[in-house]
Amino acid sequence: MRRQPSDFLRARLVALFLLSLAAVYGSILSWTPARATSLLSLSWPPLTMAAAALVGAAMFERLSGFADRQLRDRVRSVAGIMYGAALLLIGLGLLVGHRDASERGIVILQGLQPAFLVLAGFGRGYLGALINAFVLTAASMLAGGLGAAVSATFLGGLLAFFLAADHASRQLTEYPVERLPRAGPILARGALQGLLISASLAGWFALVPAAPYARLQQTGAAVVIPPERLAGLLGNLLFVAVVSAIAFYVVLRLGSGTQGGDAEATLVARVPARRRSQPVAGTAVGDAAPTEKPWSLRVVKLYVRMTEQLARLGRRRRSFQTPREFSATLAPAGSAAEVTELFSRARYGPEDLTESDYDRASQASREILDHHRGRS
Amino acid sequence: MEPSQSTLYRTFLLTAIIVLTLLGAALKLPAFLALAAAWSAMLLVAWFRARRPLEGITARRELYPSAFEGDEVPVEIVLRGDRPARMIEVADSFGPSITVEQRMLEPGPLGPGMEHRLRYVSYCSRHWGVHSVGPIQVTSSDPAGLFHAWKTLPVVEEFAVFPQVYDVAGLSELGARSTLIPHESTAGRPGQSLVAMGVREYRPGDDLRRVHWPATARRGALMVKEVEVDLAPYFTVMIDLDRRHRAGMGRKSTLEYVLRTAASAIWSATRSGGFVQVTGMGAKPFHVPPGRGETHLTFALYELIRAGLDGTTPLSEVALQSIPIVPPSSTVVVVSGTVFLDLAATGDLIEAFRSRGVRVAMFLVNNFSFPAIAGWPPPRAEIVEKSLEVTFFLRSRGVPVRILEESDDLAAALGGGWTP
Repeated sequence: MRRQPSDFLRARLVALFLLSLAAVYGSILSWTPARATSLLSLSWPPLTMAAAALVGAAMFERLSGFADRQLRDRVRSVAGIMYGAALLLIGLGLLVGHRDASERGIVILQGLQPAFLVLAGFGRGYLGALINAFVLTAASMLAGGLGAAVSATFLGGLLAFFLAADHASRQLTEYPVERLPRAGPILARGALQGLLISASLAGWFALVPAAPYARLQQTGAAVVIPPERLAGLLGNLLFVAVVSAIAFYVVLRLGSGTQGGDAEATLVARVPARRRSQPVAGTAVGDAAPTEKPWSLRVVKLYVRMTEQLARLGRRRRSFQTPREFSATLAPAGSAAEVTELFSRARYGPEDLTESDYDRASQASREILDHHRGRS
Repeated sequence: MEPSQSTLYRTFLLTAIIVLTLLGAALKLPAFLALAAAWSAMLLVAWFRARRPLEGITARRELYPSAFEGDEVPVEIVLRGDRPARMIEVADSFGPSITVEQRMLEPGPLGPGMEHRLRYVSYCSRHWGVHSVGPIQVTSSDPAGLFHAWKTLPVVEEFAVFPQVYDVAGLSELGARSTLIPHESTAGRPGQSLVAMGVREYRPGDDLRRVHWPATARRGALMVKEVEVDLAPYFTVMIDLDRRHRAGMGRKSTLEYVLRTAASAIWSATRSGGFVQVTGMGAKPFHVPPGRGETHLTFALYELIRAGLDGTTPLSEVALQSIPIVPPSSTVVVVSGTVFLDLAATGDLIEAFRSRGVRVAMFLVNNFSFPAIAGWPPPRAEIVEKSLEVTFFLRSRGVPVRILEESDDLAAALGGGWTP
């Protein structure tokens, strides 16, 4: 029985939510601090990010099997070009000291952050959201000031925590372990690393305040927040961020967003296709040889092992894919079709398979695994 | 294959550091350099931390060193660390299985001096023979999974995969004689009751339970039942390892059929509780001394999987040389690699065995039913005629015989007994 590392998945999602929030708030603070005073401007980022993160997590599996690899690569290329155009807009705006152009570009990037969170399954995991958060932070740092310091400090630390939670959740999802480790110590190590980075960056910015890009300063486009507003503004943002993070965690805890409930929830209950009535002959003198459908059982087990190996090689069979649909994504096509056909006969057919069927299935599975390991 | 997320995230961080450094230097903005420095430090620490848990880590494997083809084999790996470690990936190479690599995760925490056990079940899907298991590769990573370090532990063992064996019908009846010697009889078989010889007068020391009361009443003196001397079933398996009988390849070859049949005969004989010895003449003399029980069976199969059709001595000569080691009233199972037997020599041999009360049973693997690997096979009609002649010759002398063809399913053929 495999258990889902729910605590780690929740922690990963919370880290991603906070990271996105820090990037968006930082950019608002740096480029449009006037918007940070209204309730609407303060509340849309947490609400949108939380909803996007939840939807993205719920749709992750479905999106990751949405299209074939070529189409996904094409869509990624187009998205990359469009994203580059937005960056170009910001870059040109900064180059000529035209603040409005940069602002529009930043708004586009802010809008893209929830989109990246939703489409995580379609892309390469959360890499798109991380890149966009990084670009938003870099843009904030160009504007300088408090927004730059806040954005960089939080991004630096939260990224370390996110990576720790992500690594643990991926490993525990990939390998079926009998007993899940306690999440606390592992996440605490990631949190400590993140805190150290954030503390060192905060210390740096306290000593060397983040200056705006010289061109922006020369053209008077750099925003200067009056010191009397600074504390209030920062307080509001931190308050909203903390409250929304707690609310987000509570929502996750209540069961939505991480594909299941608590840490004891069963991800996959492995039920043997057909249990042997007696063990295979030969483990000890006196063991009886006959089984009901021994070769069928072996082919089923072979197929299950093959899919597990393929999952480790990045070819996971999605929950909604039938064996035949899954075989269409594998190569060599002939071997994939053969082993799938034998598996279907073994699993659902009334007759037992033969030794030669098993040999064929073994050969086909070996060819598939070799191909996907890059040995063919 | 898409790169794993760790590689992607590391690439992202390295790219981000380069971009931040360039921007910081070009735009003269120290904030960029500060973030680049913080992430560089994180990467550096991650690189060091990925390696630390592997120092002093050791592993050993607990594994029963043999199994039959198609068996599931449970394997335990015991990890021991000298320093705290978490999330250790362990990969073991299990040669007898097509899916060679078995990967597991030790979630930890693995404290100094602590032992943790990891289990996996593999499957002997490769052909019989001696395979290697190991080495074990342990991989650790930093908490963020940015860097991986691995270490190969030279924990390599030999693992013997025995050929799949089938019950040889009728064999236990051949070798069974009633016995009082307690032994591990694993199959119900006839002949377990005592065979009475008669009655005689009571002698001091006789068991009172053997008193024959009707005879005692008639004679007026204590009379006891007397039973025959009992013998344990005793089998001698003679294998034809003559290289001239080689034909076919892989699972469809005379070597395969001869050794599988011999293994099945040894298996069935052992199951019936008998003593079993095996003899043959390959490039080197092949002999498994008599014995019984599971340990002896394992030993015999170990020897068998190392045998090859590489001898030059005809089977009839091997059998003739082996007569002194065949005890009276036992059973000889001959596994020949051809149907073209020297009938004169075979007849003499059967007579020699019969004179000592030895029963003979024969399996003849028709080497000409397999694709020839040297020379031309005789015409089909001649092979059929010879098969009929040999069968008639042997059956007329009371020798049960079964001819095994390339097209035969061994399980069915051996399970069907001596009738074709």
